[in-house]
Amino acid sequence: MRILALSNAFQPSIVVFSEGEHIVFSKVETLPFNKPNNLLYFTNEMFKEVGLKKSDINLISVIYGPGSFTGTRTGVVGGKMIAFALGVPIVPVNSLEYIAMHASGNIYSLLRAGKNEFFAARFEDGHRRGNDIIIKEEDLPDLEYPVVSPEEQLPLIKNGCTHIKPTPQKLIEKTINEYEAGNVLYDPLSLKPLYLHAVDVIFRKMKNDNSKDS
Amino acid sequence: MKILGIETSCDDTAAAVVDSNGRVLSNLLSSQEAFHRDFGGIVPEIASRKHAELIGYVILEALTLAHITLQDIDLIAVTNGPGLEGSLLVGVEAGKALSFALERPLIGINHLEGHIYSLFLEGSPLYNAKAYFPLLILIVSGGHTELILMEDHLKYRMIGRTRDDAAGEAIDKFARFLGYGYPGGPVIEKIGQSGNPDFVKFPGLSFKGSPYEFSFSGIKTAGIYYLEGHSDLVSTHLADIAASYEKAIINILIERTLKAASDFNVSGIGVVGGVSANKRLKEMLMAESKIPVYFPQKPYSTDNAAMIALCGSKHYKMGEMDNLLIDVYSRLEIQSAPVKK
Ligand SMILES: [Zn+2]
Repeated sequence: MRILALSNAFQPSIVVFSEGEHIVFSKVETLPFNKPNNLLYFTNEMFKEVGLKKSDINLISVIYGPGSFTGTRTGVVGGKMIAFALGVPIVPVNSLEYIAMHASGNIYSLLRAGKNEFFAARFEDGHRRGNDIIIKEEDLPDLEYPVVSPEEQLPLIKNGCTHIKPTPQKLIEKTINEYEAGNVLYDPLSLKPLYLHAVDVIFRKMKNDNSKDS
Repeated sequence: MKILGIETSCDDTAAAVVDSNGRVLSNLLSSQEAFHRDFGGIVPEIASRKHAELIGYVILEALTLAHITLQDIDLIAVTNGPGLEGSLLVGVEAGKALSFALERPLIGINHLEGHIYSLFLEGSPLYNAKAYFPLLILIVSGGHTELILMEDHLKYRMIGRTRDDAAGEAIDKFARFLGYGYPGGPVIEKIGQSGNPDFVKFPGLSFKGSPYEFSFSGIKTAGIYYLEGHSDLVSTHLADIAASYEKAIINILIERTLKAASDFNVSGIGVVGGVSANKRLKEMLMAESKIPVYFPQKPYSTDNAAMIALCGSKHYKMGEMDNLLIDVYSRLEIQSAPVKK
């Protein structure tokens, strides 16, 4: 099985092409999220260089959130449109689960969720415990388990914090796990980004900001 | 040649399939109006979210209605500015992904230039016609008011634009002040339909400088000031007030447009953009102009992807193409195509 996996919901962005677990090529890049996903350009160049055809791809996987709104969105749209065009299924991968794969034991997987907020999920020995949540920055230091995160600047956390660099290998591993567990969408167009911040909350916040300006 | 057009610059998710002559095989638009109405305007994050959900299905539907598959597409044209950055990014990413997967060329199109090409789509008098240049183009919408001299296909000269608000914006603000939601233009048009457009005399333009420039902040202030000072008349003569306000804005548009048309000796005037659907503007301009005035067919006056597709095919024919590094721009000027070597 040939897999093209995309991660664009948080920094750094990753694209990786593998044959099963064997990585053919990958690219890891830190890009601003308000830029389109340049990884497709590099991927395209790589396909030409290696002499691969797009029709060789059997499966797409994409990080579908939570994460940066814009980054998550472009990743999901890119991934699902490629899957749609190639007529292959897509595997949605949760960003916090992907991050958690880079550590073991009892941990919190963590990503920045904008100003003073974080996305978090709890894991015990590789098993998810509970849903993705949003926690306030001030509650971060008191988390009951150590934190695992790709974020650079975090407040001091009582139980410790492991800074990780997300790897293409783990993305493929996670993709295969999900695929084997049957977490596959055969209508890729149905994939929606996972945001956690509900539309009505954004709506209310914008309304408040707006009434302040006028 | 079949071109897939993708347009997500604002709040409509649009896709279309057009051939290189401008024949429209399908033209799909999924309006988000209902989601933004309560807010009184467009919420960028909500617009982007809706685009991301809908884009694939809108493209699929456009293909289905055109009775073709993705494999039949020869070119992908996508709006990459001006507009809301987060919204543009969704369309551009979709275009890039399709270009990548299908190995088809991709071209980024200026949304405003796309509007100009709404005049050349199937159904328009300019569709496949010969010898109509030079044309004077008035782009008029909620975000833009510009006069452009179009000397030939893909050859433009900016003549004048608004110094402040766009014409559509001035109408939207007026509607909003009256308590009507977004978008305000069609509401004011409807209310004013039966009204007397000479009921209130709103001020015209009075500034030194280019005779082809517009300004709508003065009339917007005058309009709102009038509403504030005449709450009695607002309840009894709303239709007359709305008609008068609309006419005053249209007068400014027409005065500047006709002046430019005569000074640049054009053979016709094309009016494009959301406000081009306004009936009063159409009737008044056609009555006052001595040269032909062209308007897009109704489905192409609002934002649509058919115009993007046709504009894309014109650029592609000139040898232009983008690669997968194509970016988005919230601001973008209309540029003439480079001269073919
Ligand atoms: Zn427009």
